[in-house]
Amino acid sequence: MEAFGLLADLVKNHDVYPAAAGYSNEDAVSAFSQGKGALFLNNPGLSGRLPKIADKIGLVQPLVGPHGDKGTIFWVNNIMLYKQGKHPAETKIFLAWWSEHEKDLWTKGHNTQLPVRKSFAADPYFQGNAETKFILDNYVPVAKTTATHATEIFPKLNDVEGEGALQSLSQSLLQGKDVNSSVKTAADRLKSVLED
Amino acid sequence: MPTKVDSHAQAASSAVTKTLKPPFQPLPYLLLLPSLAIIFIIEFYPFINGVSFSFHKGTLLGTGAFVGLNNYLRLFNSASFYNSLWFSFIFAFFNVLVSYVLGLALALFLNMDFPGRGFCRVALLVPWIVPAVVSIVSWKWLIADKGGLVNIILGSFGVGPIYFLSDSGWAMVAVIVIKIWRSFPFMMLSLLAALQVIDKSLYEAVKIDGANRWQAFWNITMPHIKNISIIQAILMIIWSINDFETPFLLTQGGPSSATENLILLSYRYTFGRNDVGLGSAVAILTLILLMALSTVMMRQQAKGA
Repeated sequence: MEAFGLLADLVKNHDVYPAAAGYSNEDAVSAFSQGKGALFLNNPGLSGRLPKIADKIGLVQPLVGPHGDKGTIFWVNNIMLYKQGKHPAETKIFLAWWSEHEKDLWTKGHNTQLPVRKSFAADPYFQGNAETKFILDNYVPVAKTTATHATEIFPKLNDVEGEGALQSLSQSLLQGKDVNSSVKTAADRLKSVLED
Repeated sequence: MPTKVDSHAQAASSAVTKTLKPPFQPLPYLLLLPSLAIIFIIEFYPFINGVSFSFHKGTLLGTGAFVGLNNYLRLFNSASFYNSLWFSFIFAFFNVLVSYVLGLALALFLNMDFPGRGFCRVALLVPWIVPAVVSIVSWKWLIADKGGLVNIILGSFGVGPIYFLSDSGWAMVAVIVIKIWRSFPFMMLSLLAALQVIDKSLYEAVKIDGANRWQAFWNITMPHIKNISIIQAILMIIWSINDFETPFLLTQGGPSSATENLILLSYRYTFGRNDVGLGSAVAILTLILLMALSTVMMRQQAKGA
């Protein structure tokens, strides 16, 4: 509730752009690239997408919560092997080959994301870039995935976190609607999502 | 009293009828079978499957266990369902009403003789012809908060900016107006076709009888376009309630679900929540609603005929 209250206060104080509730990520990138936003939460590699203002973009430390805890969220793109596939043994051999040879994909400028493998992250390609080094040093150690506390697959996640209840709640707060009624609506929706 | 002669005549006629009755010909039925099979596969099979899914606790990976009416009961207890039902109603009501009034006005205008009429007829069809993605993205640019033409014009009068897609109320207005813009040409075209078959001598007759323009419109034009109007209204209600692309491309149902109609809700439940049973239940309830509305309107049409 403290976080929701903080966002509601920012809206009330006109610290949040009034059109933000209807913005897609692309709209937000566009507004930020035109200098219409001072702070913007986005993925690593944003400056690469905005070369004209890359020298004006700086990174701040991860946000600190009201109780002093620091954290952020990240997503891991995993590679899976299917046991029920036609050629699982051959696929495993291919994956082993891929793992041994994929470094160039990460260190020759073909990817804007950050590697999970520490040996890749230690490469001069990442360590020599101030932006990626800052994220690897400051964000990755405190980052958690949405599945951090999960013990099993939750197929309804998208209706909670993606385009679901939390997005709807954020849009309500960004429109300046009452915090308590917005949270109650979101809680009812979450309850309905979790219902079996 | 039937006479003996009559009885003989009836018997003879019956005998002739019996003689003339053609024997059963299976060939026409056999020839119809492929078409019926295709209709069954593309119409009834998905429909029956949809109904079946609505009684199961299914996901995108499997049909799941039978849960009876549980999915429907969950919907009736869901605020999201009533919110979507309400928006679907508002969306369809204003779209049908305004599209009809605008379409009729333009059809009456285009039915008159004036230079450039052909160009106007083609130009006014453009909103209907342009693909949905192109027109809706163009509208997004037009009503954008920064650099959008509508807000630039409003700004020149000292109004705004209006955050059309960021405020729940304005987002509803924007989605409805854009739907009307995309719908009115079809209404206009159908009504224009109906207007063109009205006999001009009827207008001359009422003019001689002293009727003014309004009386001629109300007593000659309206009765002639009544049937097509009802059919158009039914079609427009069905298309409005089933419209996915307009709210999805403009707002994805937001902000805060303000523009989420029943079809978007069904989509969200099915593909966002991975709850195929609940998504199917929304779709089936939408179908029942549309069938009920269509039946009522068809009966009205039959009564008036």
